[in-house]
Amino acid sequence: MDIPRLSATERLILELLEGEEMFGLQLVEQSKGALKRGTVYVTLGRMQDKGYVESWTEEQPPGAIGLPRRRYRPTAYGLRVLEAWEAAARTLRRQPQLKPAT
Amino acid sequence: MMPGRTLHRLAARICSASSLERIVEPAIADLQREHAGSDANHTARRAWILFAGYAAVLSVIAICALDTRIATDDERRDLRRTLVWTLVFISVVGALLMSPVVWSVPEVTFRGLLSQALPLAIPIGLTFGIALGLPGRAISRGSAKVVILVALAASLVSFGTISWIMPGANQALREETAWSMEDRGLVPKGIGELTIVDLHREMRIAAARGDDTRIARRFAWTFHVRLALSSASLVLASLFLVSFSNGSILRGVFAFLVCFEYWALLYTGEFLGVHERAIPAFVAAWLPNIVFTSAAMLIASSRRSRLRGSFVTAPRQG
Repeated sequence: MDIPRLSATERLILELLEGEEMFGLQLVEQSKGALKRGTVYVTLGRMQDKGYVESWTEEQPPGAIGLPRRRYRPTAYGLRVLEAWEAAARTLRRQPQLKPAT
Repeated sequence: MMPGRTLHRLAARICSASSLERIVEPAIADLQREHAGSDANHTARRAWILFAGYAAVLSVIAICALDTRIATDDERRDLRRTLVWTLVFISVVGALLMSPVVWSVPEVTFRGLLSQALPLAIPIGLTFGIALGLPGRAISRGSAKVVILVALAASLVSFGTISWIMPGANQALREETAWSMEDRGLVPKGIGELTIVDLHREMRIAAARGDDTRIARRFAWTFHVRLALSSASLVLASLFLVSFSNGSILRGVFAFLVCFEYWALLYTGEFLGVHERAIPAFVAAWLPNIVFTSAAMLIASSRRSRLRGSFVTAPRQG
């Protein structure tokens, strides 16, 4: 079985979404510059394809104009992958004497 | 008016339905919501929201276009190589064009230097980028469209630079190097300091007077040459998109010859159109583009075209 990949950006998004569901622009604001407006939805789209997050469009109040915004939340699978990656990171941090071979 | 409608129409043409719904529309929705929620009295803040929002949506559309049109990893690698070569050549040519000015005019600002160099460095860089980056074989329709989109963006950047930024920087330099502080506000604009709008106005005034002197032709030629140079990226990209040969050295030499020939035709046109008044000023300015567009069309219709393999239609059944 292939181990699911999780990039640093995807990890950050999952960490931000762990607490509450958000819009893309909220994620950009909360990331303090780590996420960019021009790429956040592309990353979210890829994460959705991988099954890490799910999304839906918000309910528009009557008479509202413009397109509805899209909200995101992590899936149970996404959270499980994040947990696995965090566990791996913790293990590596506990053994600092282990260095990649040069 | 709600911003983002034109971008939505553009995205609907370029992106797949799924990308449009999941990636582009949320970005446009953010722009619309942020714009609607901003204070109408803060014009600068609203302008910034629009600028940042449009830039974000445009980059999302560009990524979508790339993803939906490029089918294979090989094509992605070819296009990435083309972009890298383009950026390398733009930087090298830009530095070569800027360095003599730095030595001779130490007062010149980086903005002034860059605005002078970019309109020439961009088409030259793109020409070499395509010549060295794309493979010496037929390419797909999707790859060709991406290259044309990049060339179009390059042309737009050139147009903005040569039409407004360069004249403004030139005038700032003239004022900076004026004899005294009192003279600084009174330095008259030369032809190189006029924006595209100023040049168009001067051209219309001369045309209304029936003026065909060398000065009037100089205004007309400069106006048209700025438009022609802006579209040079598109013209040269089209030429190198349709023509190909095996061997990157041969393609590099061809790119050098084409750039040299473009330059030679530009000055031949200036001589014939402005000094000799033998041909109309707009024909003189557009001469290199006319020649290379004709060459591109000729090659595109021949068997040697790079697009030949990818643009042929499938044989009909029955």
